[in-house]
Amino acid sequence: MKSENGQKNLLSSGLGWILGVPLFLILVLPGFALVLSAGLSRVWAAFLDPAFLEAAALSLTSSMLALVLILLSGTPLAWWLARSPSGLSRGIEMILDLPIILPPAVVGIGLLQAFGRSGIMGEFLAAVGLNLPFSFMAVVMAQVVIAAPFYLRSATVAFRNADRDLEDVAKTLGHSPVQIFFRVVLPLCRRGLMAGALLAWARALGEFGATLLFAGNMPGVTQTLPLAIFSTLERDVHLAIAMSLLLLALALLLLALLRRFEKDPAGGNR
Amino acid sequence: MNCWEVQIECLKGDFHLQVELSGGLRPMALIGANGSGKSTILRGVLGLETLKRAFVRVGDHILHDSKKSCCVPVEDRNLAYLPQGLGLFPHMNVAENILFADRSNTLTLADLMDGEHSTTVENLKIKPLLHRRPEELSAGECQKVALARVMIQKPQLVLLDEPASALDILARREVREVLSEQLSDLGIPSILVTHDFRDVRDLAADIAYLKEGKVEKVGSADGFPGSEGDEFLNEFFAQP
Repeated sequence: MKSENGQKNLLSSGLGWILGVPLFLILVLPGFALVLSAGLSRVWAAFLDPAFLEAAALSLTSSMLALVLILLSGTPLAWWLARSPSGLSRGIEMILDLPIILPPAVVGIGLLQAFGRSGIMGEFLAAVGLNLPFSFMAVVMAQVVIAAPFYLRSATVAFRNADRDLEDVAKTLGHSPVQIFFRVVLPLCRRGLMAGALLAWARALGEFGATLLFAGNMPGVTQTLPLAIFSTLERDVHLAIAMSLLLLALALLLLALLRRFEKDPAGGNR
Repeated sequence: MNCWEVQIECLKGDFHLQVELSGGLRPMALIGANGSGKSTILRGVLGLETLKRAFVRVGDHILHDSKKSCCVPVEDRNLAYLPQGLGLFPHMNVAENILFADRSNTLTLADLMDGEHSTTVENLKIKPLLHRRPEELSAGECQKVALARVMIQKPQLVLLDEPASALDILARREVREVLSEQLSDLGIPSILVTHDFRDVRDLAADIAYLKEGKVEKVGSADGFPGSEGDEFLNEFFAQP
């Protein structure tokens, strides 16, 4: 194989192929295997299984709620991170990225230590009658913590790259900061914001470790699809595969949408 | 009386800008090397820059007087700003871009099509473009749309910051032609930052030459006083 300018590259040596192909296979084979191993009739039956429907409904409602919370609170926070002239915002931006790198189990323990009964907020929460751990809200909170950094990153970059001249022009045309934010900045940054929201939602859907530790694995209360896959695997492989297929289909859909939005991350700035 | 007068002092790190300028209906071109303070002056007049001291008057309106601690906010100054790329909003079509300048928020597409503002749109020959996005327009058409927006805004002063600098040479000529035809008809004074002598010539603009934050010379384009010996001015006027 020759590159465009006719020079030999790494791939043409054969060594590149030998080294590269195994990774390619290990990346795509699991997905193929899932599709191939799923007997159509048994998967269909699994889709109608109450355990499946319960977990799927819980996953969708909790991740959607998490996404709404992330958008509502994350958008103004990302705006501040992008536009604050103080050095403080840069430091905070770094800290907020932490859950991306941190093992989810560590996030789960951290959530317990913060909001658990013996956690630092425990007494306060007990006083107002809130018991967060091992509840539906705990599922949502775990997803918010794990997924929000993906939205924050994407939104901060979008806000930072938005054309300031256009905001200045909107000011000279007599518009208030709030009007400018909604009529100029948000539309200009929509691609970056959408891409971030999709990534965050995908991450929330797949959340496992932090949820398991902070919210537990109770069917119908805190058992989301990933947890249900973990629990069903021993009992009913086909049910676990059906659940996995749903998540795979959602992931492919999100990936297709992401590609559309990520072509031009700053969004519409030409 | 002059249409506008500007006294600005601004400190940015090592850079110290201190200028006094005034002008009539004739456009004023600010020229000078990069970092001489041209854009800072425009942004200062617009109210987008933090200034140490300033007096800005446009028409009868005092927009900034640091002695009396009076500083009109940007959105209430009613000045038009055409930055690099002309400041058209890419997510709005031409009509929406123009109507965005309507402070009362009462004008509609119908007013542009056949109402009181249809002559603006017709004179600029942009009626067929009203539903297009800026990305589908030529440079000259974009300039016309930006000017139509200025006409709806009815500002007291138009500030242009190298509006055509990002364009190729043919597109620049198109923009320059539109500007020189329309800007004088507007009857609104203007200040523009430019690196192109042809802008100055075609707009019959006065020139203010800035050097290191000071106004070095002011004059009209013909026989700009004492350009000999100054490398920047020699190069500027040597352009075809």
